Amino acid sequence: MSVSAPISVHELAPLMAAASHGDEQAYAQLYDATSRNVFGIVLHVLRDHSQAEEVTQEVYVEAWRLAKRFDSTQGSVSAWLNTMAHRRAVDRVRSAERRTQREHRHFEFQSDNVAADPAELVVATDEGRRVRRALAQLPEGQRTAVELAYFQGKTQREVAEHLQVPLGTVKTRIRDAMQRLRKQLGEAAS
Amino acid sequence: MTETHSNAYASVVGALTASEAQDFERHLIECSACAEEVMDARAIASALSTTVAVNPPARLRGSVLASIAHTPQEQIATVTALPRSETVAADRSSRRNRATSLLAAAAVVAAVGFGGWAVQLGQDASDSQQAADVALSQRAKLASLLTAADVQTAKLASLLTAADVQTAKLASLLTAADVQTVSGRFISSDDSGAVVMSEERQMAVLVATGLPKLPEGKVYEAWTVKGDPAPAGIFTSDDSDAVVELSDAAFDADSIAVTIEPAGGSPKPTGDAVFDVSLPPA
Repeated sequence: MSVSAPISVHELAPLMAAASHGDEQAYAQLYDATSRNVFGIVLHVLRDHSQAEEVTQEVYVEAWRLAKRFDSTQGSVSAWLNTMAHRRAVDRVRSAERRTQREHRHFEFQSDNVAADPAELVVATDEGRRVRRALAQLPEGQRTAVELAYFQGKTQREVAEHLQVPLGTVKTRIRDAMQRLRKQLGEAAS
Repeated sequence: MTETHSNAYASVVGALTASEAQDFERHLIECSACAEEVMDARAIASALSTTVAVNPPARLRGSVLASIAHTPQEQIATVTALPRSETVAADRSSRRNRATSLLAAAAVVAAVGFGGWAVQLGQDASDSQQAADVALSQRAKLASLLTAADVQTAKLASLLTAADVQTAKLASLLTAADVQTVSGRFISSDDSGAVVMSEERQMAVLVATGLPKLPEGKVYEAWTVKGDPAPAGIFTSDDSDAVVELSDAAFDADSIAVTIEPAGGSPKPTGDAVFDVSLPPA
């Protein structure tokens, strides 16, 4: 379910504050405003619909449980939720990979196609378009490094192996990419 | 630039292994430059998720809302502000503040340490991942606290993170529902101290800052006083800050005192108290 009037990121902090005092309705609004990004990143990393649902559910239940720990001076509500979601998804991919590697030594993680169910088409938002444009303007080496790490959950060592460049190069590319993105997206990105 | 230092951006995009991430978390406690960088970059990483936004199935909303309806929310430990005592003159307020910020730092460090500790328990356990997530936000708080606070606070931070077991115990103490803090001042010096205790957790500690270095062969000894003073722990002033776990007798004591004793401590105090606070009646 989505809300008819979209809630801007600036209205999220008060919702979070209310939720931290047990306001379930505020939390429902917060869910409506943030869940497409949370679910999107989890699904993108995990590439498995039912697991993505599971992880998204975990994220929102934990964020509810720990709502009082959110501190608006340390970042936005979206950043808090997205960071939590991304970490959980990456964690799950890695433990699944470890399991699979134990079973099949030559496992290759296929990750080039998002599940193409039309119902799951990526929602084009203004911010999404802006960030996509900024990503597209990165030098290819930088963009690939960030994509492999952030969207595919690879470690920097795996990225280095995949691209056949030294680890130090990967670190530099990721840093440069993030700094460029910050410059392009500016304050509004938070 | 150290290996760990250079991991700031990799950590934000999730490109560190579990053990690298753990090392980096420890590093962040001491490196405010990295902490700031990470906080900044996290907003950018978070924005990347908007490029892959997908509407979740409608049933998920109902399922989340049903779950939270019976999920109790964690009540966060508030670090007790040190009580204002009439005997403390206004010109000592800076010391009081320092002790307060020290305790706040202790609470934050304890939480950070807790996160790292939990991560070690099991890389697959989602609860440990959650603890790490929590540690992230706590760590950011610590970073800003450390950059604002004085050297003493930073020292305590490293003191606490040095010992995981102690940190975990302190975390448990500082998050106890019945945690009590009584502040005091060391005589004839710039030092402040506080006794923090929780009966529920059966733990009492003395936190001291800015202790003068003692001459060779001397130690500080803490006492629980109820009638005759009983030994409650020995500590030195190597780092000028100390966190001393007191004996259980602290719970029945009328006051906690500190004297300077010969190395090894004494069974009875041999000098005047350099620190003395009365505990509220149980």
